[in-house]
Amino acid sequence: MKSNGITIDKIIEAIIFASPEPISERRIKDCIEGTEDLDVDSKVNELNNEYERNGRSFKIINVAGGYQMTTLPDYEQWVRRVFVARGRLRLSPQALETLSIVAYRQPVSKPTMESIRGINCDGVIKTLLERNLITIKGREESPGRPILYGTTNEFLRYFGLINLKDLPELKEIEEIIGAVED
Amino acid sequence: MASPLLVDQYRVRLPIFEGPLDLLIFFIKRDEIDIYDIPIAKITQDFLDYLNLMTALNLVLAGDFMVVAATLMRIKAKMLLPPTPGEEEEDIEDPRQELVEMLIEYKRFKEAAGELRDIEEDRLKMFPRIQSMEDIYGGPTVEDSLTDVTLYDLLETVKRILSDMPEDLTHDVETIGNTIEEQMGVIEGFFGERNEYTFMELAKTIKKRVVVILTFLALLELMRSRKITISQDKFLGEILIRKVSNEK
Repeated sequence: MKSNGITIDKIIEAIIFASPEPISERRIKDCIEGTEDLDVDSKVNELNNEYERNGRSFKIINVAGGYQMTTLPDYEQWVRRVFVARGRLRLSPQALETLSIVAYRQPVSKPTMESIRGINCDGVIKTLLERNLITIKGREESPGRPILYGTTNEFLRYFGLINLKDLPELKEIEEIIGAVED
Repeated sequence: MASPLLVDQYRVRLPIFEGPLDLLIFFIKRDEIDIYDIPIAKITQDFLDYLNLMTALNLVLAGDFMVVAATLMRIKAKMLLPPTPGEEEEDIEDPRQELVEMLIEYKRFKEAAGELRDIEEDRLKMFPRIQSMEDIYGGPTVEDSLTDVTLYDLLETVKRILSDMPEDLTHDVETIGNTIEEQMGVIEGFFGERNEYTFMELAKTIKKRVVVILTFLALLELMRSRKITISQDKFLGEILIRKVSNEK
């Protein structure tokens, strides 16, 4: 406990509040002296619990390895009106299918994506590149040396994921069969 | 081949199916088929019926569907063949195996896409606190603008620059240093001690084609002013240039 009710929690809150982009645990620690063994994640959890108790309209989330304040989904219909020009387009089913292959199989080439989907993927890959959700990661050491694609940090931000391990688990074959027979 | 305009006019989106595998999965679900025991004949017929409808509507998509149609027919044909004599029953691989694996693999990613859709929906309802970088740090610096540049950005930029480049429509016109007057001097100077020579002899000393033409014009000019006479013993033969004697 510091003077004037200043606590480590509140300092972390202030730093996250002021940060223009998701801020990493490392950078938060760099801003506060003598905090090498500080558990930022648990402090953030405490803050979130406090917000929830007090019924606040926002919380702190971890995206792409950084903390960020965001409004709660319940307030969407009003907050959305602030961003008149920023109408975010949802991804098409084709784009999502292709993106899920890239996300789980990266780095992955276009021929692989096409053999899994059974359909040409040129247009979809272009869209995903333009939206900066995937990027070129190199070339495959196979005939024709096809370009390999992987997901970007923007991909993590777009879906609000901490890192790639945060992706939902790809279902096991048995579960898939079950789903087909449903 | 239909014109692009016509293709666009008749292009119809079939929103239910994202591809041929998606269509097969639909049949399997609809008819409650065991994925390990697909009735190939029936599913091939259903698939082809749908393909016929689609071919009339959307040629581009039909290409990928054709590949799967061919696969289905190949499997159907294989299943009609009697097993090779001598082979044990267990050793015979089910011709449908490959198709089943493809379908299962596709289904996994289709489901993963569904989960990503849910995450996307939730995420789009949340608005992060964003401040403009410019409010805090002033305008972007060169370093800032280069931090997120990927190879793709560079390729796109180069492509845009190349396509925006005005086409080079200029043609360099080379000025010819020589004039007819000069060439007249050359023709007269070429006589030296002689009274006659052939045009070929003179032309051999000239490097540029255009100067040869110029020299020929100079030759005509000298003829007109009766400073020289020329003769040609046969059609397309050597042109003999002869000095006109002034003493005459």
